[in-house]
Amino acid sequence: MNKVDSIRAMREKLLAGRGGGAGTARPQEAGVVRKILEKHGRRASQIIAILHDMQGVYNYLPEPDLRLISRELDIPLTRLYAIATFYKAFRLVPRGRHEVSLCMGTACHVRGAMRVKDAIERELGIKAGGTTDDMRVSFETVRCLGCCGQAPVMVVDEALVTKLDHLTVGTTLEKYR
Amino acid sequence: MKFVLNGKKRMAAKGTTVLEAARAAGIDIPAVCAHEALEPYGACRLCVVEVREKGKKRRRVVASCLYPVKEGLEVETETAKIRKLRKFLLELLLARSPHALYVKELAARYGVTRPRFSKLDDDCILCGLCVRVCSEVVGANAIGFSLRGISRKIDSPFGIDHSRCLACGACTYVCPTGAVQMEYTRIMELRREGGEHRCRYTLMGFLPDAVCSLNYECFRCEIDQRYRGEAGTHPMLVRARTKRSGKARG
Repeated sequence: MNKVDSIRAMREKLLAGRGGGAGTARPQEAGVVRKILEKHGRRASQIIAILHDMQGVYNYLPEPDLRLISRELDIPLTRLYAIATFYKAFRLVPRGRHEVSLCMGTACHVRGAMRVKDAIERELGIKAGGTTDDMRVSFETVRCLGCCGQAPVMVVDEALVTKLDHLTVGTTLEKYR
Repeated sequence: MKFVLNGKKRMAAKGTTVLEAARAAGIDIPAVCAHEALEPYGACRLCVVEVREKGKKRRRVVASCLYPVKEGLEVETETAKIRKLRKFLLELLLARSPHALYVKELAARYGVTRPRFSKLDDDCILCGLCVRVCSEVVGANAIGFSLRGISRKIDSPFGIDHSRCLACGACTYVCPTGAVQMEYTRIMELRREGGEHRCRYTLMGFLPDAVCSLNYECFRCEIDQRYRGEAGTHPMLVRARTKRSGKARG
């Protein structure tokens, strides 16, 4: 089992105990941070990769774990905070277990992405950029997803959903609720 | 090392930057983010000059705070092109901080009084002096940058964590515009925490275990007067200067 797989397995194990779905691991659980640090040889230069792995486990970067990394690798917390806020890929607040990204690019826009957006917002009861109260679904709008021929499109957890329309999108989302 | 500065032949030691050499020769180059106690940073770009390396035809615009003097280098510090570049930068700075006296005066020197860009009202010009003083000189790393682009700002971790701050005030001291008030924020916090108030100069490592009896009103305290008086600058910066010159000698 290689290192990436072992991290993934660890994640699965953590998630299994809490009824599945991403982002349900709790901060500072089961030596997660230490294991990730070991994988990267405890090198401060690997901090971006370390934070990526952390986010892979928790779905966001929990404050206690950032403090732990700061202590273990002797990186000032200000530095970690700067990195975590600089890159869009990092989040400091938890997101829902499922992530829905709706494309608002030109082609999707022309084919009615605005109406789809309204439909999703109605269905989930949240605005774009928000997370449902039960932490199940986060919804955001993005720019072009690069498959304009299938417009309008959205990505739900890494799976592409194509040729959306505002009448049926609610049913599509139902299984994630 | 021989080089030419504004048409005059000059000498400088190896490793000297163009900015240092020019200042030693009494030539004024505006530089917001440069500080003698800190490593060169190259953020403000106001210290740009034109240089031509030995044997090269083309003149290049470089940041003098980062550019080392080279043998046979020709440096021009106030050409029309350089003035134009600085003017533009100052216009941007003035648009960001229209009420900061420091920025206003600097801009006025280059004839910029009214920027054509829409104005903000933020005294922080993101020169990073406070952040670098806190990490390079004080070693506390209590403040840093956060976010990026137009939202970039100076912040403590998670916006609230001041626990690493010694309330030394070095950041407030070096801030050219008075935007950083971390020192006062921390002092207020120390006051609120109650208990034994340890003297700021103990936290800074100057005094062994002194306790403050004045509720951190340092302007009434003779310890504060003494250290500031002796130094003529912020005491932390004096220590840094001796450290840095020691490094240069070694």
